[in-house]
Amino acid sequence: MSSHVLTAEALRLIAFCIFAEVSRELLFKVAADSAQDSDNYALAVALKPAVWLGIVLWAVEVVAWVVLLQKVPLSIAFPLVNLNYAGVPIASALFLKERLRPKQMLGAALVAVGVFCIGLAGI
Amino acid sequence: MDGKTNPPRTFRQKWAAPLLWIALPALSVGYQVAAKHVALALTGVPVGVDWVLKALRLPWGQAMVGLELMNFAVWMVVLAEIKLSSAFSISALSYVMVILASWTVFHEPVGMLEIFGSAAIVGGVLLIGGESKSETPSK
Repeated sequence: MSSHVLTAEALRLIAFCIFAEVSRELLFKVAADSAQDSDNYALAVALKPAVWLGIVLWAVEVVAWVVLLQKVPLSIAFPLVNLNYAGVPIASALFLKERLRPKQMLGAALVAVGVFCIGLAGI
Repeated sequence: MDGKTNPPRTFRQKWAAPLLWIALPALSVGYQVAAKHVALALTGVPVGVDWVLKALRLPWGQAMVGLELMNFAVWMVVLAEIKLSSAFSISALSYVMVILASWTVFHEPVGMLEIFGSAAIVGGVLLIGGESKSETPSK
Protein backbone atom coordinates (compact mmCIF):
# COMPACT_ATOMS: atom_id res chain seq x y z
CA MET A 1 0.00 0.00 0.00
CA SER A 2 1.23 3.50 -0.77
CA SER A 3 2.03 6.05 1.91
CA HIS A 4 -0.47 8.65 0.64
CA VAL A 5 -3.52 6.64 1.53
CA LEU A 6 -5.56 9.27 3.33
CA THR A 7 -7.85 10.23 0.49
CA ALA A 8 -10.82 12.52 1.05
CA GLU A 9 -13.05 9.47 1.06
CA ALA A 10 -10.91 7.75 3.71
CA LEU A 11 -10.95 10.88 5.87
CA ARG A 12 -14.74 11.06 5.55
CA LEU A 13 -15.01 7.42 6.63
CA ILE A 14 -12.72 8.04 9.62
CA ALA A 15 -14.74 11.11 10.61
CA PHE A 16 -17.93 9.08 10.27
CA CYS A 17 -16.57 6.26 12.46
CA ILE A 18 -15.63 8.74 15.19
CA PHE A 19 -18.99 10.51 14.89
CA ALA A 20 -20.88 7.20 15.03
CA GLU A 21 -18.96 5.98 18.08
CA VAL A 22 -19.32 9.23 20.03
CA SER A 23 -23.04 9.47 19.15
CA ARG A 24 -23.62 5.84 20.10
CA GLU A 25 -22.05 6.34 23.52
CA LEU A 26 -24.11 9.48 24.13
CA LEU A 27 -27.28 7.58 23.13
CA PHE A 28 -26.44 4.65 25.41
CA LYS A 29 -25.77 7.03 28.30
CA VAL A 30 -29.06 8.87 27.74
CA ALA A 31 -30.91 5.53 27.65
CA ALA A 32 -29.14 4.29 30.80
CA ASP A 33 -29.92 7.50 32.68
CA SER A 34 -33.58 7.52 31.70
CA ALA A 35 -34.03 3.83 32.62
CA GLN A 36 -32.07 4.20 35.85
CA ASP A 37 -34.98 4.37 38.27
CA SER A 38 -37.05 1.57 36.72
CA ASP A 39 -37.79 -1.58 38.69
CA ASN A 40 -36.69 -3.71 35.77
CA TYR A 41 -33.65 -1.91 34.42
CA ALA A 42 -32.85 -4.37 31.61
CA LEU A 43 -36.40 -4.25 30.26
CA ALA A 44 -36.56 -0.48 30.58
CA VAL A 45 -33.29 -0.09 28.63
CA ALA A 46 -34.50 -2.50 25.93
CA LEU A 47 -37.59 -0.32 25.44
CA LYS A 48 -35.60 2.91 24.93
CA PRO A 49 -35.45 4.03 21.28
CA ALA A 50 -32.07 5.67 22.04
CA VAL A 51 -30.54 2.22 22.66
CA TRP A 52 -31.81 0.88 19.36
CA LEU A 53 -30.61 3.96 17.49
CA GLY A 54 -27.22 3.39 19.11
CA ILE A 55 -27.21 -0.27 18.07
CA VAL A 56 -28.05 0.70 14.47
CA LEU A 57 -25.18 3.20 14.52
CA TRP A 58 -22.97 0.43 15.87
CA ALA A 59 -23.82 -1.83 12.93
CA VAL A 60 -23.28 0.96 10.39
CA GLU A 61 -19.98 1.81 12.05
CA VAL A 62 -18.76 -1.79 11.75
CA VAL A 63 -19.47 -1.73 8.01
CA ALA A 64 -17.81 1.69 7.64
CA TRP A 65 -14.79 0.42 9.56
CA VAL A 66 -14.39 -2.64 7.32
CA VAL A 67 -14.74 -0.48 4.18
CA LEU A 68 -12.17 1.92 5.64
CA LEU A 69 -9.71 -0.91 6.33
CA GLN A 70 -9.95 -1.95 2.69
CA LYS A 71 -8.62 1.51 1.74
CA VAL A 72 -6.29 2.44 4.59
CA PRO A 73 -3.80 0.34 6.59
CA LEU A 74 -4.83 -0.43 10.16
CA SER A 75 -1.69 1.34 11.41
CA ILE A 76 -3.11 4.64 10.13
CA ALA A 77 -6.83 4.08 10.68
CA PHE A 78 -6.57 2.73 14.25
CA PRO A 79 -4.85 5.73 15.93
CA LEU A 80 -7.22 8.13 14.15
CA VAL A 81 -10.46 6.41 15.17
CA ASN A 82 -9.02 6.20 18.67
CA LEU A 83 -9.56 9.96 18.79
CA ASN A 84 -13.00 9.00 20.14
CA TYR A 85 -11.26 8.75 23.53
CA ALA A 86 -10.90 12.52 23.27
CA GLY A 87 -14.29 12.96 21.57
CA VAL A 88 -16.44 11.12 24.11
CA PRO A 89 -15.34 13.11 27.20
CA ILE A 90 -15.63 16.39 25.24
CA ALA A 91 -19.08 15.44 23.93
CA SER A 92 -20.13 14.36 27.45
CA ALA A 93 -19.21 17.80 28.74
CA LEU A 94 -20.94 19.60 25.84
CA PHE A 95 -24.15 17.60 25.48
CA LEU A 96 -24.64 15.81 28.81
CA LYS A 97 -23.27 18.67 30.93
CA GLU A 98 -20.97 16.26 32.74
CA ARG A 99 -18.35 18.02 34.82
CA LEU A 100 -14.95 16.51 35.48
CA ARG A 101 -12.56 17.91 38.06
CA PRO A 102 -9.34 19.38 36.60
CA LYS A 103 -7.45 16.30 37.79
CA GLN A 104 -9.94 14.05 35.99
CA MET A 105 -9.69 16.15 32.80
CA LEU A 106 -5.93 15.66 32.89
CA GLY A 107 -6.58 11.94 33.36
CA ALA A 108 -8.94 11.79 30.36
CA ALA A 109 -6.38 13.66 28.24
CA LEU A 110 -3.64 11.23 29.32
CA VAL A 111 -5.87 8.29 28.36
CA ALA A 112 -6.53 9.84 24.94
CA VAL A 113 -2.77 10.30 24.38
CA GLY A 114 -2.08 6.76 25.54
CA VAL A 115 -4.72 5.21 23.30
CA PHE A 116 -3.46 7.27 20.34
CA CYS A 117 0.10 6.01 20.95
CA ILE A 118 -1.07 2.41 21.11
CA GLY A 119 -2.91 3.01 17.85
CA LEU A 120 0.30 4.40 16.32
CA ALA A 121 2.10 1.25 17.36
CA GLY A 122 -0.33 -0.64 15.09
CA ILE A 123 -1.63 -3.12 17.62
CA MET B 1 -13.49 3.54 47.12
CA ASP B 2 -13.18 4.54 50.74
CA GLY B 3 -15.56 5.38 53.55
CA LYS B 4 -16.15 9.00 52.52
CA THR B 5 -19.08 8.28 50.20
CA ASN B 6 -22.53 7.08 51.10
CA PRO B 7 -22.67 3.28 51.16
CA PRO B 8 -24.01 1.82 47.88
CA ARG B 9 -27.78 1.62 48.09
CA THR B 10 -28.49 -0.91 45.39
CA PHE B 11 -26.94 -3.99 43.84
CA ARG B 12 -26.20 -1.99 40.70
CA GLN B 13 -24.44 0.81 42.57
CA LYS B 14 -22.35 -1.74 44.41
CA TRP B 15 -21.23 -3.55 41.26
CA ALA B 16 -20.84 -0.71 38.73
CA ALA B 17 -17.21 0.05 39.66
CA PRO B 18 -15.95 -3.57 39.80
CA LEU B 19 -17.71 -4.24 36.49
CA LEU B 20 -16.01 -1.23 34.90
CA TRP B 21 -12.55 -1.83 36.36
CA ILE B 22 -12.37 -5.63 36.15
CA ALA B 23 -15.16 -7.26 34.14
CA LEU B 24 -15.00 -4.99 31.07
CA PRO B 25 -11.21 -5.31 30.57
CA ALA B 26 -11.49 -9.08 31.10
CA LEU B 27 -14.30 -9.36 28.53
CA SER B 28 -12.29 -7.24 26.07
CA VAL B 29 -9.26 -9.49 26.45
CA GLY B 30 -11.45 -12.55 25.89
CA TYR B 31 -12.96 -10.90 22.82
CA GLN B 32 -9.55 -10.05 21.33
CA VAL B 33 -8.19 -13.54 22.01
CA ALA B 34 -11.24 -14.99 20.24
CA ALA B 35 -10.80 -12.48 17.40
CA LYS B 36 -7.17 -13.51 17.03
CA HIS B 37 -8.18 -17.18 16.73
CA VAL B 38 -10.86 -16.29 14.17
CA ALA B 39 -8.39 -14.20 12.16
CA LEU B 40 -5.83 -17.04 12.19
CA ALA B 41 -8.48 -19.57 11.14
CA LEU B 42 -9.75 -17.40 8.27
CA THR B 43 -6.36 -16.27 6.91
CA GLY B 44 -6.69 -15.78 3.16
CA VAL B 45 -10.50 -15.64 3.10
CA PRO B 46 -11.54 -12.30 1.53
CA VAL B 47 -13.55 -10.06 3.86
CA GLY B 48 -17.24 -10.04 2.98
CA VAL B 49 -20.52 -11.77 3.70
CA ASP B 50 -18.89 -15.16 3.17
CA TRP B 51 -16.17 -14.28 5.71
CA VAL B 52 -18.79 -13.35 8.29
CA LEU B 53 -20.77 -16.57 7.72
CA LYS B 54 -17.59 -18.65 8.01
CA ALA B 55 -16.59 -16.78 11.18
CA LEU B 56 -20.01 -17.39 12.76
CA ARG B 57 -19.60 -21.13 12.20
CA LEU B 58 -16.36 -21.18 14.22
CA PRO B 59 -16.68 -21.70 18.01
CA TRP B 60 -14.30 -18.74 18.46
CA GLY B 61 -16.57 -16.64 16.23
CA GLN B 62 -19.58 -17.55 18.35
CA ALA B 63 -17.52 -16.71 21.44
CA MET B 64 -16.85 -13.27 19.93
CA VAL B 65 -20.57 -12.59 19.53
CA GLY B 66 -21.34 -13.84 23.04
CA LEU B 67 -18.56 -11.78 24.61
CA GLU B 68 -19.64 -8.65 22.74
CA LEU B 69 -23.23 -9.08 23.97
CA MET B 70 -21.98 -9.54 27.54
CA ASN B 71 -19.77 -6.50 27.13
CA PHE B 72 -22.78 -4.46 26.02
CA ALA B 73 -24.91 -5.66 28.96
CA VAL B 74 -22.16 -4.83 31.45
CA TRP B 75 -21.55 -1.45 29.82
CA MET B 76 -25.22 -0.48 30.14
CA VAL B 77 -25.13 -1.34 33.86
CA VAL B 78 -21.98 0.77 34.29
CA LEU B 79 -23.54 3.71 32.41
CA ALA B 80 -26.54 3.77 34.75
CA GLU B 81 -24.22 4.64 37.63
CA ILE B 82 -21.10 6.35 36.30
CA LYS B 83 -20.49 9.44 34.18
CA LEU B 84 -19.88 8.64 30.50
CA SER B 85 -16.70 10.74 30.39
CA SER B 86 -15.17 8.83 33.32
CA ALA B 87 -16.44 5.39 32.33
CA PHE B 88 -15.35 5.66 28.69
CA SER B 89 -11.83 6.77 29.61
CA ILE B 90 -11.51 4.06 32.26
CA SER B 91 -12.64 1.48 29.70
CA ALA B 92 -9.33 2.18 27.90
CA LEU B 93 -7.76 -0.11 30.52
CA SER B 94 -8.80 -2.88 28.14
CA TYR B 95 -6.05 -1.74 25.72
CA VAL B 96 -3.46 -2.27 28.45
CA MET B 97 -4.91 -5.69 29.26
CA VAL B 98 -4.97 -6.71 25.59
CA ILE B 99 -1.31 -5.70 25.20
CA LEU B 100 -0.42 -7.69 28.32
CA ALA B 101 -2.34 -10.67 26.93
CA SER B 102 -0.74 -10.45 23.48
CA TRP B 103 2.65 -10.35 25.20
CA THR B 104 2.05 -13.21 27.64
CA VAL B 105 -0.33 -15.50 25.69
CA PHE B 106 0.70 -14.96 22.08
CA HIS B 107 4.32 -13.90 22.77
CA GLU B 108 3.95 -10.91 20.48
CA PRO B 109 6.65 -8.24 20.79
CA VAL B 110 5.75 -5.08 22.71
CA GLY B 111 7.33 -1.82 21.54
CA MET B 112 8.15 1.44 23.25
CA LEU B 113 4.98 3.15 21.95
CA GLU B 114 2.81 0.44 23.49
CA ILE B 115 4.66 0.69 26.80
CA PHE B 116 4.43 4.50 26.80
CA GLY B 117 0.77 4.42 25.76
CA SER B 118 -0.09 1.83 28.41
CA ALA B 119 1.64 3.89 31.10
CA ALA B 120 -0.28 7.01 30.00
CA ILE B 121 -3.58 5.10 30.12
CA VAL B 122 -2.90 3.65 33.57
CA GLY B 123 -1.81 7.06 34.86
CA GLY B 124 -4.83 8.77 33.34
CA VAL B 125 -7.27 6.17 34.63
CA LEU B 126 -5.83 6.48 38.14
CA LEU B 127 -6.28 10.27 37.98
CA ILE B 128 -9.91 9.85 36.93
CA GLY B 129 -10.74 6.96 39.25
CA GLY B 130 -9.11 8.35 42.33
CA GLU B 131 -11.44 11.34 42.15
CA SER B 132 -14.65 9.62 41.10
CA LYS B 133 -16.23 9.12 44.50
CA SER B 134 -19.16 11.46 44.09
CA GLU B 135 -20.05 10.77 40.50
CA THR B 136 -23.13 8.69 41.11
CA PRO B 137 -26.00 10.97 40.12
CA SER B 138 -27.65 12.22 43.28
CA LYS B 139 -31.19 11.80 41.97
